[in-house]
Amino acid sequence: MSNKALQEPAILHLIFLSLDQEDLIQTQKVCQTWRRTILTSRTFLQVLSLRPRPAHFIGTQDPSTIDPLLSSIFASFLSWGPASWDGYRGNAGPWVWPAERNWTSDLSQYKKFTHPEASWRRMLPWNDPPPTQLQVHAEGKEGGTISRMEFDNESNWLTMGLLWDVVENCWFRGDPWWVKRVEIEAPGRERWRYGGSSTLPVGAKVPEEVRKSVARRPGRVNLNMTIDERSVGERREAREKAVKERLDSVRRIERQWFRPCGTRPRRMTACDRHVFTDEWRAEGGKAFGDVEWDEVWGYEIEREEEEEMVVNVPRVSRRKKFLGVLLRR
Amino acid sequence: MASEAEQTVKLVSSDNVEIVTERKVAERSMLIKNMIEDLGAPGEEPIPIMNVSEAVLRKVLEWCTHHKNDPAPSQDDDADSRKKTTDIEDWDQKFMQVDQEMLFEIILAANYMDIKALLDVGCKTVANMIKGKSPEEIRKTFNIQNDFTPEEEDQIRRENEWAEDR
Repeated sequence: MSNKALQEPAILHLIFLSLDQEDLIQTQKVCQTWRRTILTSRTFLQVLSLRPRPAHFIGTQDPSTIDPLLSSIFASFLSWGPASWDGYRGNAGPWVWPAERNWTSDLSQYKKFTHPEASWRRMLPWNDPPPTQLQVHAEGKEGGTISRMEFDNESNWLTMGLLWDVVENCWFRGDPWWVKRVEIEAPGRERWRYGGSSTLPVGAKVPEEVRKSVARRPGRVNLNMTIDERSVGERREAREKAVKERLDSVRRIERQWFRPCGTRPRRMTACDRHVFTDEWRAEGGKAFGDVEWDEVWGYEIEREEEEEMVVNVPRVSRRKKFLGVLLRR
Repeated sequence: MASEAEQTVKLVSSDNVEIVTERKVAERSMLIKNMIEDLGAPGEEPIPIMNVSEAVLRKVLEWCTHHKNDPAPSQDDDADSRKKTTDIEDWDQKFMQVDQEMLFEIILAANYMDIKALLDVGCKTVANMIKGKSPEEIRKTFNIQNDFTPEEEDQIRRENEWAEDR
């Protein structure tokens, strides 16, 4: 080895203290000693966004600030308001979001990206300071569920992988997509610029304190989902129609705008491709039904003709698995 | 007896060369400061600096001479040691323009002699050499062997591939 200083953990530690996230990522790939020095130090794990950061850590101290590396790839996933399947517009699903960077334009790229060991899964999307709760509100016409998970940010914290899996699985593991709209609210952001719906529907049969507890609050990440109420057949039909329209429009654009100019036909991006094939389904992620929530509330929405009926008391369960099937019907 | 400012101390390098320097300069090193306090009679007994050669010791003392009037570091500096900026003042930057071998000798000497400010400057200089480089470029710069096993290489690839070629 060339010199002692570069194998001395105490000195390496001092050197690495001056490096930022991007440089630390490169540095941990240099040799075993360097990698061990970085990945066994809480400080460096915090710089890498792999551990929650303490309040005094150098950072923006703005709870809605997204980790810069994740932001460069998941920018719209993390900051865009309601994403919906129905229109097949630009933001038509979670895996489209990284695709807009255009580096998931083939399947092998996508597989690299979704690999279970990919480090983005372990990173904290928000870390200045980290959120303390994730709340998923899935709302349908006849009822809904509120699932919550608490983070003490010592032994557990919200990772990008968990957030991704929850959204991805709601979207795709259903048959097909039992959710038609998803909206992510950053922790600590006071007003969501796209409106937001962190309130329960008017007729929801829940105790007042539960109703109040659903509202936005600092430190909480809200996932608001609208359940697709159509039958499986109807949804499949809608999907096929949308896929066909998308294909047609891609072909039309190729014919009308690109061929005559002598340029190459537009290369299909993941955004175009994923809707055509099930190949793009993520592998290895945690299924929505496997996520252990700290608290799950179910509610029904009161209908006018059922006013006389005895109101079902909402169930509360600790550490209960989320029963996604309930919502699929 | 001479006043403290004019007192000198004798240091002996690892290659047995005696160097006489101002006590104030030598006391930038916490190691020497503690030794002087232990010895009681500075200036008479030579102080052995066992791990540092003459050339390096002279270089370190050059730094100590320039910085002999710096205020003592406060405790707050420690808590705030994670400074992302690698600002190094001009004189120190010039001082650190030495070959790599000397740079690391200075860092090791600063570490051994417990001169925190010099150690910081040295480490920041190395950090600046790392910044913006790929792992391969870093290995080349510092002549480091890639000692990962194929399994570890695979693991690193799986973990990081997603962020490459952005």
